[in-house]
Amino acid sequence: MKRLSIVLLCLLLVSGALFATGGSESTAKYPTKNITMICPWAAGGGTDAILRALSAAAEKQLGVTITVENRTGGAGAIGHSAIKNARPDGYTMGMVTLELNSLPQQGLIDYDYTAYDHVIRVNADAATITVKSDSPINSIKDFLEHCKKNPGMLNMGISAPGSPWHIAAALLANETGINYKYITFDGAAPAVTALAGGHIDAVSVSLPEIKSQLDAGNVKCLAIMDDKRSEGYPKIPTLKEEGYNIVYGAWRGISLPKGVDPAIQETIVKAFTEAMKDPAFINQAKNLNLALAYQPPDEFNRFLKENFDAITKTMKAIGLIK
Amino acid sequence: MKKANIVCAILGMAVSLAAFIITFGFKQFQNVPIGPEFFPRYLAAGLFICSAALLAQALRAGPQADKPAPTVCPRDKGIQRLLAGLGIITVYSLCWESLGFIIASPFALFALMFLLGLRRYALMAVFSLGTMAVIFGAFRFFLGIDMPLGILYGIL
Amino acid sequence: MDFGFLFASIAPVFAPDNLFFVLMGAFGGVLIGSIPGLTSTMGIALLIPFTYGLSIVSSIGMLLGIFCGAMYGGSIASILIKTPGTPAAAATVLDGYPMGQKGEAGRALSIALFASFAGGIIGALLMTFLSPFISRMALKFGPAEFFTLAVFGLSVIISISGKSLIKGLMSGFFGLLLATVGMDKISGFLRYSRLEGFYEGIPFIPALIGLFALSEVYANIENIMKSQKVTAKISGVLPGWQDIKTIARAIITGSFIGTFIGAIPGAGGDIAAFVSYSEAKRVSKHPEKFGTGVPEGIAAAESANNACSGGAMIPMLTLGVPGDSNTAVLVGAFIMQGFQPGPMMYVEHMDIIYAVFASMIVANFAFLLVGMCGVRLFAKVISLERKFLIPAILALSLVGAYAMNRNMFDVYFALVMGVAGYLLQKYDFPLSPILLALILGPMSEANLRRFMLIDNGQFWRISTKPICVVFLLLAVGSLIASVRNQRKINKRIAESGGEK
Repeated sequence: MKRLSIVLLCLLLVSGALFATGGSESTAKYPTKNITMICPWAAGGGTDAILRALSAAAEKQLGVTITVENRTGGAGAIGHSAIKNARPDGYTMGMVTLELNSLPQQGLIDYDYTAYDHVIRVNADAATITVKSDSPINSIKDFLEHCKKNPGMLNMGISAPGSPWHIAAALLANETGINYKYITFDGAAPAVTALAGGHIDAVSVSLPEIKSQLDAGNVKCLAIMDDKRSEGYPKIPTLKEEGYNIVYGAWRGISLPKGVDPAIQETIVKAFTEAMKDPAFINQAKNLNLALAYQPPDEFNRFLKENFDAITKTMKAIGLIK
Repeated sequence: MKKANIVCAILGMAVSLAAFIITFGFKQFQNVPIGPEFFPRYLAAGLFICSAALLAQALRAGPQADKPAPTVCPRDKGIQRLLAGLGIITVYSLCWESLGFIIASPFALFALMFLLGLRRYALMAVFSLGTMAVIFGAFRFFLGIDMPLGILYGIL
Repeated sequence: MDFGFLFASIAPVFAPDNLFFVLMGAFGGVLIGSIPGLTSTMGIALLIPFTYGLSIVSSIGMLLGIFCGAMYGGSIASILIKTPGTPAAAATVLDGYPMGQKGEAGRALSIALFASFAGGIIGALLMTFLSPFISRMALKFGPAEFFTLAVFGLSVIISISGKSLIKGLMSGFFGLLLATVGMDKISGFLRYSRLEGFYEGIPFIPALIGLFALSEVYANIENIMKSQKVTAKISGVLPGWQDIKTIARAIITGSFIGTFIGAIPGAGGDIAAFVSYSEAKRVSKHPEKFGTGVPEGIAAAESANNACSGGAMIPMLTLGVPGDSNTAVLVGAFIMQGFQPGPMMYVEHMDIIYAVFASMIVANFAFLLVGMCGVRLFAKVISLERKFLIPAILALSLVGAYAMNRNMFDVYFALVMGVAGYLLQKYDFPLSPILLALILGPMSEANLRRFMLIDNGQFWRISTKPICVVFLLLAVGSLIASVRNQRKINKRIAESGGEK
């Protein structure tokens, strides 16, 4: 037994030695060590791709390594919680996505956007109304007319219930007094595939997600829910031009857990603001077809509140929540 | 095995009944042909029928071709070892977030090897530290995945 | 065809530095695949950032190396430690592990390697020459078609049930029921549990690790004193001529099944391998030996899941619609390099398409090389002292359960599933039907409900869709055949004098 206790002691010492090597850090100089960036969505996906590109650009500004950590699952809840619960020392932050404004109302998370110190908004991709290319519906007017004539008959493909694109479709229906059947798919891509195959009538997902089928001529986009027309596809009208004041899209932003030293926050905001101007990052965003939509913290906070209220209203209108 | 099969069948029936009954508490959706309760109900029914069939088969089976069922009796030496092992594993996984993977792993591995009957302490220590280091290093440097760091957070 | 252009396009694939990247990819892929919990999808996703600096050809070549390598790598863990390294290798456990336990781990590994290679090459060739024809099929798959495909997939449960049909079915129903826990994909309602970890349904990889790897760890802790050392004799790194003759038919059928199922968006190597295994058992002259370590069983599963890689590339390249989760991540890699897979790529970047075809073939040779160097080494794992091996497998399994989502909940869930798997296996309930049910349960339910919504609850309309009718007929045929087969098996076992 004596030998056993000696060995156990040695184990303890070795682990302890590893532990003791770290020094204390002060907040005066930031950053002094590597930063962890939490991504609530899986590696290889759209959020992951843009976050990695942005992190690479921000590394140049901050001079330390930024490691992207994918904490996924729970329809985004797990990653958002991980950002919120991280130590507010400025060395852990993450990318928040629209789900932050759609999970709380459904009772799926017990906090909301106010639980963070937000840094910047990165992008906002407007929803579209897209139909199959051989559909007799050729404009958003046709579309609304068709829906009015056949109430509740059109098959609208959406990603998960309560997801950004569900709310996009519901927003349009709610504002124009139409309704349709929501056909839920596991994400936007399968919905677009089903549309291209003619199994459903329309989808409400964003431009990057329909791009390959749009270029191939399998689908046509009737309208985009943005302020202005898309640079890449200037022929697609906005809903605003057609007389419906609906602006809606999925956004992403960088946020810190609540309570980070204001001086550190300032450094971070500055670094990411500069990173958004990095040509390599802008090029990556172009490859991903993302619409960059920078907002500084105060604007981003205002936007989050408006967005949250709009989503809550829509959810109530379609009976998703009481 | 006869008794074991009867117990399994009854457990299966209990699980399926519970699953079936819970579906009546599911939210009802308007305007959908089949809601979230449709599948679980049929599946529970299917499990119930199969369990009943197993019960019938077990009751009918004669004692002749019966081979002894494996035991889960806590008096059995193997089961005692398993329970101890489960204890180590549970404590180990609970320690990941507080102590961290790096510190918890060598102790857990060492304890498990001790439980399995190894007594070559030096070798065991080297092996448990080595296994931890290889796994942690491989995940961190080749895949970019950090195991939970626990109290080592901010140091490594 | 413009051969000058063709050669100019594929020349960069054979540049030495590019071959090196493909080989590195294959090496990494085999390693990733052989670790339970690290799937090929995850391997590709995690290593994409490392390829940003490379040219498009090298980047895609390396990722294809990982893809093909991991598909093969999964079989190694299946054979040696009874745990599928990737979900696609789940069917390989059925015969691979028993063969290893008979002291023929080397033979099992070499058969898996050869079948993987052959399947991969056949899949890649089918992809190269039949893409335009097969791709037309991919868009025809809507909710109704997917539902019937899932039903067909479920019909093979009987052939993987083992000794008792009833217990196999119970496992299947239990798995299907388990798959309904958590958030309902159609309505968003939380069924049976409100835990955050179940918001996306049952976490599949942790369930797989619990059921297979941890249940084995538990059983080994219990029986460590009784366990005997298994030796591994190795005759060669590739199967002997006799074995190749035995498995040739299974490989060819498996490759076609794999390519076809792979080409269907959303259906991957896991389903293909089970279907192929069941088919090999159906046509076999000695179906009763399946599950005891027959070469055809390993070959059928491994050829199908590797052929699947080629199949899954078809709709991705031709339509921009990924054929499985691996190709979904690959699409991201193309996009990051500034290329959008899809019909336009055939018009604008035919050179890249040719390079992808060539890289796919090269990737298969690359993992063959890695495998041939590795077989002797892998086989040694089985004869390691269990008292060291078991704790290491435990640590690796928990890490594997954690790595996918980096969420402790998944680790705890895997531990619980491990206990369930241990108990189930102890009382002769087969685990593979549970796994198959976890894959196909959500697919069948969600698609049935989508179809019913679209067609306003008129279920009979399924009979107006030709693909659905074919799959339903196949399902019925497969059920009848396997029930008959089961009778034959029972009779043979009775003749040969009682149970083994």
